[in-house]
Amino acid sequence: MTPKPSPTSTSELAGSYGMVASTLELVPGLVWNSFEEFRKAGNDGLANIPPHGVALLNCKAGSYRIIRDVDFQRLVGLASDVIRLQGGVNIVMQAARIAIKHPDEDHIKLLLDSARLIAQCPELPQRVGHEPARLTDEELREQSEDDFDAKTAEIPSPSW
Amino acid sequence: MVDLNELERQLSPLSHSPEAIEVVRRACRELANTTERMNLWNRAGALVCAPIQPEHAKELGFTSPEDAFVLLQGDIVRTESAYFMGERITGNSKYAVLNSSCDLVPTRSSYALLLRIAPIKRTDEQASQTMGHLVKFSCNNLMYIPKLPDDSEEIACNELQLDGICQIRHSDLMLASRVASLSLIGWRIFASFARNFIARANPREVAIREAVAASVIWPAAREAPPNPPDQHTS
Repeated sequence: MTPKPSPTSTSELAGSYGMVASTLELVPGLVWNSFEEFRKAGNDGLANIPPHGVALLNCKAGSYRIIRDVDFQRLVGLASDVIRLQGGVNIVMQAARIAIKHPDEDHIKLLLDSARLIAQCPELPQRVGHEPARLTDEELREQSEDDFDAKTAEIPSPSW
Repeated sequence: MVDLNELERQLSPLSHSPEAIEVVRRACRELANTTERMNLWNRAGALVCAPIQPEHAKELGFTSPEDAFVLLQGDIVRTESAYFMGERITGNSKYAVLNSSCDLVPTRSSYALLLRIAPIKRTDEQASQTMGHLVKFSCNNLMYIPKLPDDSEEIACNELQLDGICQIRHSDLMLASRVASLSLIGWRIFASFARNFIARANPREVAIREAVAASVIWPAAREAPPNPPDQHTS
């Protein structure tokens, strides 16, 4: 029996959002206590920041945290999800305020319903990366006479 | 051998039109095989180039307010703040910016559109055939993007997908990491693909719409009295 591939998307989890959220795992990185110290460390200093490390530069202009771009993009991505969640949380808060003011059956139900909406979705749906499109059989046949082999070919890359 | 300068000259009057794709496909047919086509398109500046910097444009004399930009149409960016069908895409994925450059100026819009760029790995089952198709620009909904400087060794090339559009907040897009810009010729090809995909004028569709318009008795015409009274009688 072929093993079932692990889902790349929370939407593939058949209605359950049971995946454990990945953490950013940010760790403390190097500390430079002057710009001169940072300048002397140069590229090697930056390269020595551990994976997911947050370096600290203390200089006359202030304190600056230095992280890799990939970690920065992950933080901004998560922040955009937080903004989405805030909308839902605001609805629950408003429902809670109304329920306190008017604790009748209808308003308690409204509070429970809106809280349930958030509770059903502890993690917002996400997907890892993009899948390439699949060629049709006809398209595959069209290329059958070309002896190009992507596995072994020398593939130049534009550089700058 | 395909002369890229000559190709650009041919594309210039056709830019953003479906004919431009045909010109590119014809040029690709002049080359013998996938390797020759790949070697043409993978040259620096052929399809992609280093991100075009606003400071560089200023140094070249583009200093008027309408020349200001942070990103340009077709720029290839990496972000984790884009959404596709309600899902946020993680994995530091690549995208091409679909909006016109003039709409990417801060304060002009709140949201932007991105097209997905999927990596083709050397080990993918269909990698060779996919690359063969891509370098000919033979699919209407896929555009070839060479392996980029920050792609790992296992990547053979990239495909820009026109089937499906992602959304991102403009403010988040401004923080995305710019990987590359399109060259002039790359931008013309990209714009032609985008227009072809989003607003292609099919002659049969024109005929259908004309025929339907001619056959329908519009309610206003039906309700109008057969002999409208003369409004100008004195």
